[in-house]
Amino acid sequence: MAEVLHDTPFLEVRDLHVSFTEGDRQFTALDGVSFQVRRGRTLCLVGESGCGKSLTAKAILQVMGDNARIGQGGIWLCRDGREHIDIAALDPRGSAIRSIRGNDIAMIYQEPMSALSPLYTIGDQISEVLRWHGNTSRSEAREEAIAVLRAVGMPAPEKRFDAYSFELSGGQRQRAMIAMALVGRPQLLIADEPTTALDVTTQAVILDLLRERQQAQGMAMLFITHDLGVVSEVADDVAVMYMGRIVESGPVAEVLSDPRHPYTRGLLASRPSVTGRRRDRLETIPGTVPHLHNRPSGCAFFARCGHRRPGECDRQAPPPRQLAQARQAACWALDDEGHLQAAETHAPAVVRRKPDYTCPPLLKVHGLKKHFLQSGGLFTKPRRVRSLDGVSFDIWPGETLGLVGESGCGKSTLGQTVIGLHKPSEGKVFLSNKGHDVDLAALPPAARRRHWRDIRMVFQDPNGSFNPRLTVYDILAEVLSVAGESRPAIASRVHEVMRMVGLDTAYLDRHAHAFSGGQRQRIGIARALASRPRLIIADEPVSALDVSVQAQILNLLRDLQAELGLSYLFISHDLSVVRHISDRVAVMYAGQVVELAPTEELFSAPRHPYTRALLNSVLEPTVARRTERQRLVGSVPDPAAFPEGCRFHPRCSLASDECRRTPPPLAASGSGRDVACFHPLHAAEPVRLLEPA
Amino acid sequence: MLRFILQRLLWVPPTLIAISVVAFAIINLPPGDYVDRYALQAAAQGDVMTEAQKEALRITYGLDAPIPVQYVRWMSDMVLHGNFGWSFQHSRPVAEVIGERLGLTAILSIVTLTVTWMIAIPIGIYSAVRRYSIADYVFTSLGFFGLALPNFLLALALMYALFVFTGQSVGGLFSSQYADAPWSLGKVLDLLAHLWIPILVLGISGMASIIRTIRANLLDELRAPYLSAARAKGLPETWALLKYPVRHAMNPFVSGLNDVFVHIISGETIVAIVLGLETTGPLLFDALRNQDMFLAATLIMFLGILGMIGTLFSDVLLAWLDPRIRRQFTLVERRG
Repeated sequence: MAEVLHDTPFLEVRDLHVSFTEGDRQFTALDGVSFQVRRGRTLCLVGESGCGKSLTAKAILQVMGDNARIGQGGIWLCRDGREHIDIAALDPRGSAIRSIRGNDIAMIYQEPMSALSPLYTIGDQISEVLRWHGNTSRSEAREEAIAVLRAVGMPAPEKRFDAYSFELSGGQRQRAMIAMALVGRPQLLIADEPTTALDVTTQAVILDLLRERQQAQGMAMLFITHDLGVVSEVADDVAVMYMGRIVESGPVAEVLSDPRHPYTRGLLASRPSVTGRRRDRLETIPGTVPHLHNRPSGCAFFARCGHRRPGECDRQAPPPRQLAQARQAACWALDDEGHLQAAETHAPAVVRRKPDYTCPPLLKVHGLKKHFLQSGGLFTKPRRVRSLDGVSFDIWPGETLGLVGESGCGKSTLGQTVIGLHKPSEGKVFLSNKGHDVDLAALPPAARRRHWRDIRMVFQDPNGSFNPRLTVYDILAEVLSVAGESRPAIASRVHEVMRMVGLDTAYLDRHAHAFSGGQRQRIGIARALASRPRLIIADEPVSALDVSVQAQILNLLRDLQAELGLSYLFISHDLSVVRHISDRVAVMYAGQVVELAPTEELFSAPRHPYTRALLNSVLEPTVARRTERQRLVGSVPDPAAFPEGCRFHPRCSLASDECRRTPPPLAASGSGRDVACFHPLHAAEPVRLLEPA
Repeated sequence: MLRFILQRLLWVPPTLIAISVVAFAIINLPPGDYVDRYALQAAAQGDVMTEAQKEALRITYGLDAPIPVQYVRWMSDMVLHGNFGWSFQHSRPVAEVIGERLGLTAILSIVTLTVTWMIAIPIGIYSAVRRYSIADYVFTSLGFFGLALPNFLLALALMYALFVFTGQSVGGLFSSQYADAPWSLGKVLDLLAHLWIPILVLGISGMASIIRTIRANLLDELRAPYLSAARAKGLPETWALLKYPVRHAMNPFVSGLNDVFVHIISGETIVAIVLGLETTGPLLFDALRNQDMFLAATLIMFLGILGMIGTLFSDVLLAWLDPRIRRQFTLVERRG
């Protein structure tokens, strides 16, 4: 590199190549990755799944697995500012690399539940780092591990030292994982999607914690994420990865505000936002990340790029181009100043159908309760788990009702109870049928069956909800043949729904596992559409998808609604997605709806403190704002032992004596919104999250 | 934990009674009784018994009473006097007949199991960690060979080969000069010289299935993130392997141990018959064939008890290995 560096980076990855061996064939997974991580700074590696982010992290510690091999390139570690070590040249089983692992460089894994063994206490797994590096005695290691647990905010660390991972909450588990990484006082912390499995509220707390520990210990941090909102929150520098290459890199503010590579732009544009203008359609990146086996020649992004130049881009991979100091992009379509030349953007506007609130609602849910009896041991009284505890709402024809809340709040149970997978303990579910309301909850199963085709479901994990032995045709035809339709009618309907969800009917005789995640979700939607339903319950339908594919699916759901006049009950933990797709939003907490309002009003001026706390936790890819925020502490209460009064009061800063005694009812609070709070917030109060557009 | 064990023990007596009733009923299902069979054998040798003689024998053995009465007599004798009844066939008390074989059977079974585990578990671990290596292929082939080959055939082949090449007869557990001799150093050495054949025959098939189980379990565990995490902490490879995936892989193995004690008594009857081993397996087989009622019923009772002990043993071992299960027990205790 031409420029003079004022200090040597702690870690410098140079032109790293990693390949996988499968049988006799080799596949390039990392194709010349270069970056630097400096002391006290955070580099974010961002990109969709399958781009090589985690593999890069594992290559740095040489824990890639047996079939992956470093080809050329170096991973230079600068120990104590003097000693330079090339990790890539070390024996992965040797003692030299072992003295680096956990000591100079430590790693936080994505899933603390599976990265912590349930067979040993977390204390054992934390303190063994110390016992293997240096001669720390058992009691000293224990002391130190407890100190680190305290530093990462673990409640009652002396007690938790002897706890097992399955006895901790999700947030506590991630704290234990962080403690395990920090206990060796590493110079570099690699965090691989450390908050992806957590609720937004917990995510915000954990990110605060990481930043605080980084400042306290002066560590360098390599942070891997697919979420640009997280990037804006934690990064100093960003490197965007696509198919084993870094396509764009630079300081976070510049990359997010002035992205140069078409892939970076696509990632930013396909993400719905909780603050900006609501768009009818999201811009998408067409297609998906190709499998390693099908790496295209030339620019790997060629097939999905709106700026592609056939004959140029598909010949040779673009080399990284220096745009400014520490700012690079690798794209042939950049002009002499390094700007992306204009290209046709394709986000054709659709006419958005507004739901008709003058006609009677399609679905009316009244006081719905679902209590489960959790059986105990031999002599144990069963516990009554109140998953749903009195939920009421209406859905109008053509309307999308969004349903948000932290995990464990009962939103999935609500969807499953409405569709009849659970028998409600109490309450009514009225479906409007030819001008009459039918109470589905009161119908015997046989009579209920007639209404099956009116309400269908789309699941989070389409793969888990498909029988792997059935072809796509069989999957789509199943509900129709159960309903006794004729073979030709079924065949024509199957072809029709395939076209509706944008899939080629030539794929009908394939099995579900032959499709990518996004295509599988299209099949899931086609299956729901087959019986011409009026209401679709979508339970986290895009949570398992990459952001570019998520945008494709959200657009599809939108189009189908406009075309068919469908109603959706859209369940999601992702507030930006819910804001994008919903007409109205219900916020659930501890088995109850705490606020229900038209989308714009709810997001611009939340009334319930819980709603505001949720919104406060959402991270947006705008760098201007990285301010102190109120964090929601604590966790969702145990559904078998809710607190007295308002169920949110132990976590609420506004809670009064009244809140501790009496549960607040869900009451109208003007302009079509309902709030269950004695001290609702008012629009005049500034909500820190929102910025003037 | 203690409470869990006590709860389990409370269930032992009713289960045992149920087993004994069923065992007794099944033994009495075939037409006729031991006296009929005895008379048949006598007749075959030209010694015809009269009805009166038969009746007298029945009265001596207590076979004249209705079956429920026989059952109650047998049970009360057992509970009150520790008397398991009389073996018609051996003309000795059942306790003596079983007792003299029990020790040898236990020695044979325990040595076989220990040898099998000591060899099979490390091989299973090696096969998984070095998957698709030459040694893995060799062990895998041997394993399938051991699984496919019937035990008794292997026993026959081994006996034949040894006889042809060494001229030595290898049946039984002792050479003829030691068979009825009191225990001495020579007798112990003689036992060891004979013991390796049944251990080999019984061990090979047992080993094969254990190697396959451990290998499959461990292969799943080797992909788990906690192993990668352990390596990333700087743990030495062998230690990381043994502490995390190997211990996880033992779980399904241990939960399959519940019938291990049953095998100690009943296991491999056919091999024992072929090799002429004086263990309890052939004893039970003969007792059932000859309607030697009390001997058979007692042996079946023993199997039941051992089955229950084995299940308890594997549960306790599992709880010791896996804190998730341990905590379930404590949870039950705390709530109860």
